[in-house]
Parts: sequence; C-alpha cells; structure tokens
Amino acid sequence: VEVTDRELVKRAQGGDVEAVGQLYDGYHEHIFRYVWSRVRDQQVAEDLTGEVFTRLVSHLPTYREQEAPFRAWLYRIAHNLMVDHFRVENGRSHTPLHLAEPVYETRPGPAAVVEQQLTLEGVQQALDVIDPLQREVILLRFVMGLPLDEVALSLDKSVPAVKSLQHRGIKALQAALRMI
Amino acid sequence: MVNRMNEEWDEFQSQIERLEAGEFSGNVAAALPEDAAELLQLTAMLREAPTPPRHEEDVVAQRASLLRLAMAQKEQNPAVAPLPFWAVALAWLRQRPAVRWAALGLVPLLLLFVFFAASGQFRPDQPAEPVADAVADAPPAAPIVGETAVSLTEPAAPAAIPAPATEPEVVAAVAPADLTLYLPAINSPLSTSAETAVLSDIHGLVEVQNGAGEWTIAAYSRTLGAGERLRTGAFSTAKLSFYDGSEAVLGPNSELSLDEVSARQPRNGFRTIVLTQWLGQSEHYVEFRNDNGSRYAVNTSNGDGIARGTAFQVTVAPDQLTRFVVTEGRVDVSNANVTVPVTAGQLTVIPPGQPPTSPQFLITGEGIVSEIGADWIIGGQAFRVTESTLIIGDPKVGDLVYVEGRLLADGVRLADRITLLQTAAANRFSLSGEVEMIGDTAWTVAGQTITVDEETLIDAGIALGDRVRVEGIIQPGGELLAERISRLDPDTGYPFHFTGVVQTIGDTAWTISGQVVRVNEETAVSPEIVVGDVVAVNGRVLPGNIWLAESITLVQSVGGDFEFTGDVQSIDPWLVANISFQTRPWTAIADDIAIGDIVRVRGIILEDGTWVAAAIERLDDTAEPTITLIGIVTSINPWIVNGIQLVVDDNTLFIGNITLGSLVRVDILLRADGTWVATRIQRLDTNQGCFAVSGIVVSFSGNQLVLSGWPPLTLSDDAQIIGNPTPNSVVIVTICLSNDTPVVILIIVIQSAIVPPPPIPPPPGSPPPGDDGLVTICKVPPGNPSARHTIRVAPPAVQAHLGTGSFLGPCP
Repeated sequence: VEVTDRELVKRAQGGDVEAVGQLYDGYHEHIFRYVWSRVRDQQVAEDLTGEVFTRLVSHLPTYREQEAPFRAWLYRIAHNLMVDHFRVENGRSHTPLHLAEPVYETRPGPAAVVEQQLTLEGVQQALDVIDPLQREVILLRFVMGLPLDEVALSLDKSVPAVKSLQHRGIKALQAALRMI
Repeated sequence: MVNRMNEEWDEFQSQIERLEAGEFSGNVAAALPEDAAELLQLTAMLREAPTPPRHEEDVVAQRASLLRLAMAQKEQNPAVAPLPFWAVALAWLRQRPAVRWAALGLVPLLLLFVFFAASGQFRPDQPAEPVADAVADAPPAAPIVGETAVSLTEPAAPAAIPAPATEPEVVAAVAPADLTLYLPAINSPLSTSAETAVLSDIHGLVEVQNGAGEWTIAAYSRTLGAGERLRTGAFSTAKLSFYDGSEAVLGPNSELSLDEVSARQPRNGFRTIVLTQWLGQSEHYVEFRNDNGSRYAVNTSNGDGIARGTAFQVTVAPDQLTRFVVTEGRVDVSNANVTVPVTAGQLTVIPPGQPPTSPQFLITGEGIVSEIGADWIIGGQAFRVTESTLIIGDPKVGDLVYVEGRLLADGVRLADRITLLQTAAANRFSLSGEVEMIGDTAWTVAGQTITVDEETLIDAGIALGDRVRVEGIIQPGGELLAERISRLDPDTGYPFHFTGVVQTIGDTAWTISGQVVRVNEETAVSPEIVVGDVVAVNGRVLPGNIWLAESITLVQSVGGDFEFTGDVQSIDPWLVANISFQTRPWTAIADDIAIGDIVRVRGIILEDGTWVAAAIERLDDTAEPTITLIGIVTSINPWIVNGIQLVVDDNTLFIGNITLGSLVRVDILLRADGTWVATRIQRLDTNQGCFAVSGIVVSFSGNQLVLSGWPPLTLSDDAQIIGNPTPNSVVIVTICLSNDTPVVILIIVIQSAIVPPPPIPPPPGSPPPGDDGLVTICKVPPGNPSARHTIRVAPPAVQAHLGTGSFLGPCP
C-alpha cells in the first residue's frame, strides 16, 4: 500500500520515527540532485543533503500542510540552505590555489576548444552565469521536475512570477550556451 | 504588453506541460517556432542531466542520524509523545558514549532508591533486611516498549571471515555538534546496505579482524558485514549502526562478531541481525518491530538473545559468566528449559551451562570507597565482593568508584563489577622537607609523620637531615602513607619523570620530545629503542640544568600511531572530530588553536589505550602566504625557472618527471622572516601545450588576468571569455603555451562574484566631489545660524547634513 507524504508527515509529527526514515528514503536522492546541481561537489552535496533533512526533522513540529505541500516545503528548506551556503562561501576565500590541479589535459588545442559543442557540461556552465533566481526556477522546474505552483511555494514567489522567471531563465540559458 | 508577455509564458508553459506529460520533445517542438523549439529541447536536456550517485555510506549514516534525531526530539517533546525521565536520560546518554558506561547505572540506581523508599528499608545506618518478598512487591519498572526473547544455546561457530575490505582512509571529518551529522570524507568506495553496519564513535583502540585473522586498526565510518569481527582495547568504545536504526555499542576490552546482518526496514521485510559477543560489554538499542519475523540476536558462550525492540546490555566475563541487563522493555531469557522474564531495571545472570537466575534488581552507582574487605563500603552502602566480582583499576580506600551489582533475595548487595573512576585528589598528598626521623614503619618529614610500608619506594642512601619529597595517599583517619620518597639534593639532582618520543639517539645524549637527556654507563636503557619510539624516562636534573637519565624504558605502542583531521570541538580536554585524546608537555601544538579550527592530529596509542597527541597542526593556517610561479625549467641544481633561482630544501616536493625545458608550477612559501622556499615543483603535463586550472580572479584588465596566488597571465589575442570575470569570481582558465610562454585562451566564469551595493549617490543638484572625493557644504547648526561654517564631507553623508538646514556649496 502506497503511503502518501501526508500520512507520513502526520505520523512523523506524531512521533513515528520510522516515518521520518521513509520521508528520507523518498526524497534524499531528489534533494541531493538539487543540491549537487548547485554546488557540483559530491561531498559538499552529501553534507548539505544531510543538513536539509536535519532541518526537516527540527522544523517538522511546526509544519502545516495548509501552508505548502510537503515537497514544496522541503525544497524551500533546501533552497534556504543553499542561500546560506553560498552566503558563507562568498564571504571567505575559495579553494586554496595549491589545490588547483590541472583539471583536464585532453583538450586538443585552442581551435577545438572554441568549437566546443553544446553539451550537458556546457549547460551546467551556462547555468552558473545566469541570474541566480532564474537558475533556481530552472533547477526546480526542469532538473527536479516540480510543478509551477510548488516551485512558487518553494521560492516564496507567485506563480506568475515563477512563469516569468522560468521563461527568462531559459532564454538566458540559451544565450549563455551560444556563448559557450 | 504585459498581457502579451503573459500569453507567451503561458504558451511556453503549456508546451512544457505536454513535455512533462510524456510527449516526446521532438513532437512537441515540431509545432513550435524554431526559437521556442530550441528552448524546449533545452528543458528536455536539463531533465536528463546526470547526477553522480550518492555515497551509500553517507546515506546510511544520514538515515541513522535522522532517526536518532527524530527519536531524541520525540523524547524531548512530551506534548507529542510523553516518555518517562529515564528514556530521556537514555537518549542523552546515547549521544555521549564516553560517559555512558559509567552514567547509565544512575537510572537503575534511581529505581533502586525508589524501591527502598517505597519499602521503607533505605536506612544506610542499619544492616539490610531480607527483602525477598519486597522484590515481588516492588513497584512496576519502566513501561515496556518492546520485548526480547533470550534463549540460551551454544553459540554458532563464527562465520568464515571474508576477504579484508579496503580500509578507507579518513581524510577529513565534520564533527557533530550533538545531533548534527558526522560525515567523514572517504577516498575509497564502500558498499553499505542493509547487509552492513557502519562503524562510528570510535574512542581509543578499536580493531577489526581481517581475512588473515590479523587485527588492524579500524577506520572511522568503516562498514562491517557478516563474518567480520570487532574488538576494543582498554578505555575504548565503538558503535555499530545498522540500516534500520538499531545500534550496538561495544564497551572496553570487548569483542563482537557479526554473524548475520540484514537490517531491512519494515517495508522491505524482516530484520535479521545476529551478533556473537565473545568478551566484554555491549549495549544494544534495537528499533522496535511490530512483526513476528524480525530478530535481533546476541549470542554469547551461554546462548543468544532475540529482540524485536528494546534496549539491553550484555556482559561476558572472562570466565564466560554472562549477564543480561534490560534498560528498556522486557527480555525473556531462556536456557535449559527455564525462561526468566526480565523487565527494565532488572538483570539476570547466567553461569556457564546453567539456567539464568531469577530476575534481580540492578544496583549501580558511584561512591567513595571507605572500606575494603569481604564487604566493600561504597558511598556508605555495603557490597559483597566475591571471586566473581570484576575489579577494574585497583581502587583504594578514598577513591571514587562505579559499582554495578544486584540485590539478592537475602538482601545482600552483590557487586558484580567495581570500576575505579577517579583517584580522588583529596586523598593524595605530596610534601617536601628535611628528614627528621627514620623508622621501620614511619618517618618524620618536615614535622609530619609519614607511614611507610613494604611497597613504599625509597631512594637509597637517604639520611637524617636530607631534603626529600614524599608522595602518597591520605588514609582514613588522616594517616599519611608514603608511596615514594625521593631525595632532593642539589648535588645529586632533583628527580624527573616524563614520557616522550625519541628524536635522536647519541652516545652521551638523547633528544626525547625536544628535551636533551644525558645518558651514561649507569643509565638503564631498554633494548632495541629506535628513533620514533615512545619512552618513559626517569632521572635527575643535575646542577647546570643537566637532565641525567637513570632509565629509559620503551613504552609499548600497541595501538600504533594515529592521525586524523577534523575541527576542534574542545580544548583541554581535547576533542577533535569527536575523538578525544590527551596531550603531553612535549606535544607540539600550533599556536592559538581555537575551537572550530581545522587541525590534523598525529600521535600514538599507548598500551593502556590512551591516545596521546604528538602534534596538533592547524590546516587552515594562512599566516605564511604562498605564491605560485609557472614557467620553464632552464636549470636543475641549481633550480632556475623563468630565470628565477629557486630555494629548495629537503622538504621540497618534486612531482612528475621534471627535465630541462619542462613546464612546471612552483609553489613558494613566504616565511615571516622574509625568507622563502619552494615547497612544491610540479610538472604540468600538457597535451599539445594546453592545461587548465581553476582560481579566483584578483583583477582582469586588458589582456592581463591575475588569479589569486598566480603570476599575471596574458590572454591570447583570440581568447574566449564566458561570463564576466570580475574580481572574486571563480573561473576555470585554459592556458596554452605560445613560444614557451603561457597564454590564456579560455576563461569560463563558474561562479560570479557578489556585486557590492552601489555607493549612495549624492542628492540631485549637488556639486561633483572635489579631487579629494569630498563635497563642500555650508553647515548651519540648528538654532544657531550665525555659527554657520564651510565643511567638506563624503558624498554619502551629504543628505544627512542637508536635512538640518545646511546647504550645498561654501558659506557666503
């Protein structure tokens, strides 16, 4: 029998520890995918995924379904954590340069580099150069597959605003890809 | 206009929804203009973007941590799920393994006191009365939260030991703050699932038996599967976390093997966990399962226990006497066709080959030993001590101990185990002074009568009038019993004793943990000491501050060396990455280490399991900056790169096959004293002359790019730039050689810099700032316009001044 998020949340709020485990089982890979799409670092993404669920458990007693579906609420936690993460990251020095190893050596040369094809790697690079909010919408809509209304709830925006961000974001992404 | 845009977005949204509904993107796109079709294909591509698989061990650890967090939250929130005090205390203890073993007994002690109070028999000044009936009438113990069935049979032979798993190397650790997650970074893949358990909370010496039957030091977050065996040294503990949230905590000097591990979650079937405890103590927290097929079994030499959900302890003494102590729920212990129900706060003892005893109430607690004999008086209570009583640490009268025992049917409190917790400082003494009297059983030193016995260590040749130092213990009644009397003589020196690491060995002097120690023909030196060994040194400090060793004894480092990295959670006592350790005067500790710093700790594990740090280094120390140079090697010995002669030393790391003409990266350390040295020279392997690096933009102007820590880089004429490489943005840069000179041909901004807020513009009509950047204002003090005067202020302050009646420009 498939158990719905609503039932699991209700059980978890009632003290059912296993329900918390089932919520984790159901969403940890999605949240990891979302987080990894932003940080592109396996271990950081692992840590942040754990933190998302730690916050989930901590805030679960105050969660009200009337305010947002569980999934949207969970992504809002993840989104807020991302904001915190990059705020901290941007406030301190980045990767030590002594760790800056050559990242690839197989490039055939300048000419071929310029002719780099449109690839997923290119998409990921392009995602990094567009507006952060547009990027969030694109990630949640297309990488995570959330419907518009849940994206809106996750980002605390209106649905029309998300539609706008989505459309502009895709166009900006397209422009960035053409540069690459 | 707005409506048209909304229509466009709605149309795009409609196409996306068709795509999400399963229509192939090509079909959807076919009905769209080319531009929109490309956008849709892009969204389809985004959906297919690959994500690396999660680390399975992280998933397991996270899940287990979440369950514990949820459990703790549940227990701490009585409005949601009211639980008795002991359950909350147990949850607290679960998070603190270091104190758990001693403190866990307080809960049953409380039960015992409640029992005594209820039965009116808790009168420490009176002998205990028979309480056989009282046991039967005792108030019910804690509520049953689960049931355990224990049947006693011969343990199954240990399963064949599998081939050793690859030992993961712990390279970093994120330390937990109570309930946060501990997720070590592991550089080798592990296979973890319901069929494995994760090893964590390692304290002291913990080893895993490999396929060859050899014991190796266990790494943090290692996983164990069926057939593997775990053991702990003195003062050492470790925890096994199973996939369903159950946990087994192994106490000191204990050994446990995993016979079957299939910790499935409820929706995936029954759980089967079978362990064999060969020696020592273990605690088990078994997730409750409301089914009849799940098992959590702990075998001992006297049988095995099967649990569905409860908390209990198992102790296997060297003589295989086995005890089951239940702290939550109920355990049914069976052997020889006898079943004994044991509820929370009770225990049963199983002598080898015999049925379990009737359930008895636990007696545990801490107290000062005031009498030692057939009965020990601990905390004012008498405890019967028999040959079966395990006494750990050689406690003496006056010491603080932890006692664990049971209340027998005849009212006798039988001590099963007494552990020395602390030699109370209050009952030790040391004094220095002249020897005034020397007797067979007592001396007088500095006016104090000192008792000596056959165990007192006394330096040879002490005579009346000599200055001595006396160390010993204060006996009940105030008697001073000397353990050691040492001569204090400036000519013969003052005694010293320390333990350290041998750094140099010479004919007349050694260096031990930085201290130069003289040796002579009378110095007793353990054979086969080599540099790096840990030794105990006894000797005397002679005039001239000469440390003369009388003996240098090898201290066995049974646990070998340790090294780990993590952030500092506590200093004095030290706790890093959830691992506690000690320091010695010779421990090299980086200056100004603070809580939260990332450090690397290296040291040794002593014979008693104590972890002693030899060095604590800070990893994020930026006091000594480095610079980086890229260039062509034109000379080796002396090293010259790009015309710059490099200073190299024994610590300089050379990476790759570096020959004349090689392109290399040189890391140069600038020391505080102005000297510098090359710490690393690495050949940059290039493919057709190109390589890539990542870095942070310091500046970008014209065709010059400066990355943090790098020399200025020149852009090629046709360099490609993706994004806006403003200062502080993170970029990937592709560099190619052009006439042996590195030039940048591609910059990709992978993380944009935060743009600072723009400066507040001056109000409309204000004159432009002068050459000094300041604006001229005629300042009119409120209420005193005649005192107006001309001032020059920064543009952001202009508005504030104007608001008080002042105006732009100089005063007329």
